[in-house]
Amino acid sequence: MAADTPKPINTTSSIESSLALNQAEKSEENEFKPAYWKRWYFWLAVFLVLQILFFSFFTYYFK
Amino acid sequence: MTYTDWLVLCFTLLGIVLYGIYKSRKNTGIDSYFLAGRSLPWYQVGLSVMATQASAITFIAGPGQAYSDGMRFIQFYLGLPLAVIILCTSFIPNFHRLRVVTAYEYLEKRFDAKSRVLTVVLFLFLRSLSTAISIYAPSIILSTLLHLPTGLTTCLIGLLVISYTVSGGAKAVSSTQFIQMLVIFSGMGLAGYEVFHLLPKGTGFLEAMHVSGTLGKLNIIDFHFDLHNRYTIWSGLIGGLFLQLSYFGTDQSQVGRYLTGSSIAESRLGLILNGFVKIPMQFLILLLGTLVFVFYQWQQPPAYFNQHELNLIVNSRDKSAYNDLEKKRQVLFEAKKVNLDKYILSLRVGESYEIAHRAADLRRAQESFDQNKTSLRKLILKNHPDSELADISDTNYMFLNFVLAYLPHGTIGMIIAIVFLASMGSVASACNSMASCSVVDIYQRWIVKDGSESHYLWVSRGFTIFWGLICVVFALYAGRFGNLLEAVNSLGSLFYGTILGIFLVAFYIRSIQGNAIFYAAIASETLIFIAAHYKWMEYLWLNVFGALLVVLLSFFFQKTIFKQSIKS
Repeated sequence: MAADTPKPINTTSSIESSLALNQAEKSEENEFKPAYWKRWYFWLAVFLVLQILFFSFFTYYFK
Repeated sequence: MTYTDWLVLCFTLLGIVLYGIYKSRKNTGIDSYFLAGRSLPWYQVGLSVMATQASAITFIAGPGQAYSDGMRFIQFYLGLPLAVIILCTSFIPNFHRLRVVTAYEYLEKRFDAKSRVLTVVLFLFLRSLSTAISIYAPSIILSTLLHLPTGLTTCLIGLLVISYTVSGGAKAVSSTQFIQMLVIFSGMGLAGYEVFHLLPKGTGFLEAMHVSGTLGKLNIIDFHFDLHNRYTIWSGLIGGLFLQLSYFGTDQSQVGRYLTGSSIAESRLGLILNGFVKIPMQFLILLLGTLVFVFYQWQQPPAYFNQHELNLIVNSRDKSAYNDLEKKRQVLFEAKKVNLDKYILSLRVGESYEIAHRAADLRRAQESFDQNKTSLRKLILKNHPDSELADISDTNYMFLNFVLAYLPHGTIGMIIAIVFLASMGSVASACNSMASCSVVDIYQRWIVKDGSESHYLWVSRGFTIFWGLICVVFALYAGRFGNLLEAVNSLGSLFYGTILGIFLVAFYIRSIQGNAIFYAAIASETLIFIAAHYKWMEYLWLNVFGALLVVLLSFFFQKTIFKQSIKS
């Protein structure tokens, strides 16, 4: 079997690709901090719970 | 179909195709052809993702599913918002930062070329067969409605989609999907409005829901844990999470849609939009089915919605048995209607014990009516020349049958256009994604490495035609796959688990390298085929089984067989 050379994720090509990130994306990433996205995920999870509660109500109210 | 319907149908379809071609007239290279130049805003990304997922089956079989089995199918989608959160945190940033065109490009950067090729081959095989079924599903129904041969409607849908996917690329797909979803939403809204107004005067929404619930159609949530019950909240949250993660995270037909976003933020917001809208949309589609069910409590439904199968029995030697069943059915329907009126009256003026009593009577009447239909189904199966090909479940025909019989002219043309559009949305994305994998992961990587942008653009168009035609040819033979919905799901489950396992290892277990993942994927795929052949488990669980198998085997291989290679 051929030697399996470790290939870390930051290869030269991937670094080059990463550098290709344009300025707009960089500034955008700075603009949207992780806390911004966490708020979206939180409300998505809350919405899922609310839907389950609504469906449960629907199921048992109209049984 | 009247001239008005044909006019609405042709105008909607032609308008959308021409609009797609117009919007994409400036394609200059493969980045613009496959990813629309990574320039789309979040709402267009989100609607495109939704249009790709929603095939014609969603709008035809969705209401039919609720009509026959109730609304419990919605639990299947409960894992989607959770999958969206994982996709936004892991998958999207990785794909965007490396500027990949296909998801599988990432695998070469992370592992090696052979892992990338293996995953691409698995994807192309799975997607071409699934797309063939997606083309065949609406074409069989349209052939019934328009009285055209199935082969012709299959070619018609296939060639229509190929023409604008080839000329327009991803921008045509995304631009038209945006309009398609708007048409689909308004069409389904219009259908809902019409159904509600067809209910008897004085029957309110709450009464309609009480009738539906009493007859077991509002069984939306089931908290019981049962591995043999396909739709419970647990199978939806756990099994659904794995399935949606595989589909949105590793299937190029979806990855190619959200990579069209102009930034990580636009792609994320597009998927989050899908996470918010998908479940309510499915809820409304299923609710439409229950409203049609309520409508058919007052109006006698056809003995069988699939007219073709019904004609076979009417002209067979069991015609007298059918006539007996039909007479009995009419008596049972009238008896049920009497019970229904008493139940409605008790809802308006009665005490709770009286309501419960009337509800029980109504349920018994419905059971007798259903038994009559079961007997008819057995008779159809017995008389079918080839029982393997008998379409004994007529739920796919219910909604279109209702549309043709009761909706006003113009609306019929619009609903038929929706069937075409939904099919075009998912099939166009699939053809675009197969072409992008063929060009980026195979042609550009192994055959012509230094071609010009215009060269790759023309090769991309060639591959789109190639895959489109392959799918149409497969679709012509799709009738042999048996039940179509089951065929799509079981086919996907054979491959999705392995592909998801490869990506999970790529993102989360950095110590595992190319050889370990490659041989683990081959071993897992072999075991999945064995598990499916010997029916070790229900096919939905193959997704979980496959993903876990790849993770465990690759970890084992890395720690044992390929341990030395890390040190060298």
